[in-house]
Parts: sequence; C-alpha cells; structure tokens
Amino acid sequence: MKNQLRQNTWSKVKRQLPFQLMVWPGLIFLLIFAYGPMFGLIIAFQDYRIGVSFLENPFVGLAHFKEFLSDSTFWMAFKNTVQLSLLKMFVIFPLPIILALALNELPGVKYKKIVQTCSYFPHFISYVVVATLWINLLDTRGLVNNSLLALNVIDAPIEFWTDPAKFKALATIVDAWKTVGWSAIIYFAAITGVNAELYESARIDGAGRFAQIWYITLPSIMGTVIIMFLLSIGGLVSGNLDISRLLGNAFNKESSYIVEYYVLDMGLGTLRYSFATAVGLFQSLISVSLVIFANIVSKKASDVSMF
Amino acid sequence: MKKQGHKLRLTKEDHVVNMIAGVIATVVLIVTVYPIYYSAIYSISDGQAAQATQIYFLPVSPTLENYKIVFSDSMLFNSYIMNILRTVTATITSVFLTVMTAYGITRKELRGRRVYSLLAVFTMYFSGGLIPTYLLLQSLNLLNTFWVYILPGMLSVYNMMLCMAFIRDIPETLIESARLDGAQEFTILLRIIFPLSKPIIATIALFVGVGAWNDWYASAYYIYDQALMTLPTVLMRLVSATDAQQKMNALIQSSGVNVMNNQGPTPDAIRHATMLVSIIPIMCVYPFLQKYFVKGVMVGAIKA
Repeated sequence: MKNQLRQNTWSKVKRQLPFQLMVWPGLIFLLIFAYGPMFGLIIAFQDYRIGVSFLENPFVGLAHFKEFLSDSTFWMAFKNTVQLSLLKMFVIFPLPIILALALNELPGVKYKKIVQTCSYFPHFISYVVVATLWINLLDTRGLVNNSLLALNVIDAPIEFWTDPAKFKALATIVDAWKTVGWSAIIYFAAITGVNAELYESARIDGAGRFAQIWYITLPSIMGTVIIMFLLSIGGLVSGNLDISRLLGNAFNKESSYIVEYYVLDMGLGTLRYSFATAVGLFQSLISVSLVIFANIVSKKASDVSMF
Repeated sequence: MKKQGHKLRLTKEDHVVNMIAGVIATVVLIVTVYPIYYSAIYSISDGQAAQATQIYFLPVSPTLENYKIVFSDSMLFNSYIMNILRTVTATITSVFLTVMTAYGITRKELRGRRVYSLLAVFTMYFSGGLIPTYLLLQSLNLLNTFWVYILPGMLSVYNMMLCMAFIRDIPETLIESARLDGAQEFTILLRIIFPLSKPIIATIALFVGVGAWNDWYASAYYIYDQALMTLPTVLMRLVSATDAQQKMNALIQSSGVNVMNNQGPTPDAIRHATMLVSIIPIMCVYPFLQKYFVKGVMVGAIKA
C-alpha cells in the first residue's frame, strides 16, 4: 500500500518534471533580472557605499526622499516629465484614432495598404536615427529652414533645438512621427471587428457616411479607446528617456530634462546610488498607484478592465 | 470589411468623406516617407555639393563615397558587426526561451501555474528601476560584457503573453495524439508546438530583433569598451559628443579625399549614410514579416 503510494507520487513528479523544466529557465531569468532589482530598492533607504554588502549599509530612513523633494532640479524634471506626458495623452493620443478612421473610409484598398505599411515603419527605426534625422531636418542650415528661407517665409533661420520654449512641441511632433502609425494598429483591429450589418441597416435608415462614423464606428471602438487612454494614465509620471536624452541638449535643458535623466545623472553621473534609487522608487510608486486608480475607474465606468 | 456597394451613386457626402480620408492618408504618407527619402538622397550625394545647394527630390553629384567612409572606419564597421551579433543572438535565445516558457505555462498539467503567471505579470507593472538594475548587473559582473545585451531582456513577459494567446488555440488533440504515440513532452514542444507557432515566432522575432537592433541604452550605459559598442550608440556619439566634429574631420581626412575642390564628404553626409546603414536591414526584412506582426499585434490587442 505504502509502496504503491510512493510509486504514485513518483509518477506524478515524473509527469510534472518536463513542464516544470520548461518554465523554470524563464522564471529564473525573471527572478534575477526583474525581481533582483526590486530587492535592490532597499538601498533607497540606506547610504549605499560601493564595496559594502547592501545589507550592511546604514539605514537613513526617508532622508533621500526629503532631500530630492526639496531639490529644485528634481521639480524641474518632474514638471517637464508630466507636461510631456500630458502632451502625449491629449495631443498624440487622438491621432492614431483619426488615422484609423480615415484609412477605414478610404475607397481604394491598395492605397490604404500602402499608407498603412509606410506609417508603421518609423516604429521600427531606432530612436537614435529618428532623433538624428529630425535634428538634421530642423537644423539652422537644415531642410526646413532652407525651404522656409527659399519661400521667403522667414528672413533668418529659426533656432529650433536651442530654444527651450520650442522643445516640448518639437518633441511631441517627433514622438508622433515615430508612434502614430503603429498605435493605429489596435484601432484598425477594433474597426475590423465591427459588425458589417450595422452599417447596412444604418444605410437603409438613411444614415450618411458621417453619421455612420459617429453613431456606429466610434461607439464600437470606444471600449478600446477607453482602455488605451486608461493605460496611458499609468505613464503620466514616467518620461521618455529617448526623447530627453537624444533630442535634449544643454540649451533646451530647462524643458527637456526629465526624471529618468535626473536619476541617471544622480546615480551613474555623480555615483549617488541611494539618492537616485529613492527618486526612481518615488516615481514607480506614483506610476503603480495611477495604474491601480485607472483600473478601478475603468471597472466602475464599464466592464472593461485591464487585469 | 465595409464596402461601398453603390459606387455609381456617390452622394455629395461620400465625396467629402473620401476626400478628407484621402487628404489625411496622403499627408501621413508624405510626412512619413519624405524624411527617410531625403536622408537617402543626401547619403548618396556629394557632401560639399549638398551643402552648397539645398536638395529636395534628387541627389546632387551622386556618389557612394559616404558609404565607403562608413564601412572603412573601424569604429563604425566594428559597431555594425556588433549590432548584427547581438541582434542575432538575442533573437534566437529569446524566441526559444519565450516559446518554451509560454507553452509550459499554458499547460494545465503544470503545478503552480497561477503563481508563475502572477510572478510574471507583476513584473509588467512594477520594476526595480534604472539604478538597482545597474547595480545588479554590476554585481553579476555583466557590465562591459557582450552578455549584458542578451541576458537581462531574454524573457519579455509581453511577448510571452502574445505567445500564450497563440498557443492556447493549438488543438489539444494534436498534443494528445502525439503523446499516445509515445512522444516525450520536450519532443512535443520541439516537433509540434514550434512548427505550428511560426506566425507568432515571426512576430516575436521581429519585436526582439528590432528592439535589439535599435537599442542604444545598454550600449551607452553598460558598456565602456569601444569594441563592444553598437551602431546606434556610435551614431549618437557622432551627433552629440563634443568630439564629434574632430572624429568627423579625422574620418574625412583619412578617406584621402581632396576637400579643396568643393567636392567630398561632409559630416552631414556621413551621418545620413550611417542612418541609412542602420535602417536598410530593417527595410529588407520588413515586407516579409509585415503580415505576421500585424496579425500578432491584433491577436495581442484582442486577448491581452
């Protein structure tokens, strides 16, 4: 009896083993490279020194948090981060929806395919290349300035990249150039899922094309739109390091410097690891709270939920 | 798909909608394509000539000189090779690990799959951040090694979930019958799951491959040995570093071109050529993979 039980257990283990072996390598990678840094967050409350085991560092409580919260450079970075995110949420966000709606109304299927294919492409180009390209196009001796000069629209070249007042608008344009086509895919998918009979019956009822867009297409993709918007709320306090680092420079720093850049400067630049970790932790905690908040809202507002 | 069945009787409103849609589509097309096209014609123009007169649609004094310089410079060429090496390695290892983990987690036989999925999903919402990650890589002695490109991002949970959504649709009967034929679980994974998952593998391979090809962060912050640097980082230094101009001048002089006769490469032209060199490989694989990734993203959008 006992022997049989043991045999049973053994055969169960033997059956389990291949599946466990399949998932463990991946999980080990997650444990090391995703959970490892999470345990490293403890140094935000310590005074980390190089060469000392991180459990032996002296605890300093919230000292680092207090310090950066009274640092004006941090608040400058924080303000820029939020402003750039708001531009992303309210200026860039509607563009893929408009693109998807427009392409859906396009009479020619072939032209639609071409536009789609091309509009995805910038998503696959390195941000370094995208930034280099736009820095070059908007240079004082670049294509845009030369064209405007040739057309006599301006008398002197516009200083696009050295003027802090222009940075956020330019960053938004470049980001839109890179992301709008790709973000539209999800709305194409949603539009494809709309029941064709709805349009048919609307047409019989005498609805024109605008009415069909307004009363059928838009409401049908509204669920997707809401989810995407709620997802973007989680990114309110996280900045895009690509934009800040690659398009930013010493001249436009006051409007291009973001929290991530501040973290890197403080951490890897001045080697204040604990201080920089505290800033990063503060930022992720706000992000997570926003995501949770967004999910609660979405559950209340409708049946859509991200989890 | 909605079709305008009554093409013969287009109302005024139809014309207006078609026109607005056409204008939006055309503007998007031009705005997307022209900057890349401009970069392409600049890269095959003579640098000095392109500086003297603004080009718009056609190159001036076409030449391959700029590309020759890019490929003859050891730093640029080396970074290009490094880019290829890291992209190929990352794609192969990551795809294999992702499909294997995804298949394992979708199996109902797997004990603890709920805990495993939670463990994975949590990492999508919270991470340790830039500095703890850096310190971890430092303590693992991964900084300034080739493996810092490969190991940290080897399992992307997002890709894994795309893959799981796909694998769930593979008929269970295929797996059952293979098992009845006496196939081991790993044989099923290799002989049945992998071949049937080709579309999703293509999607994930594209995501991982493009991510690795385009990444500049790892090379800029985790690597200080020039031999290990990748193309975007070198390009970045050619643009932003204070010594960029010096490096550029050295490049131009070492190419042995006579700068006196208003002919020859300029930093701008070399930059454009470097950009194109980075874009062209993606352009080559892009059309073949497009049908896969569009489907893959849509599946992910609907299920995730």
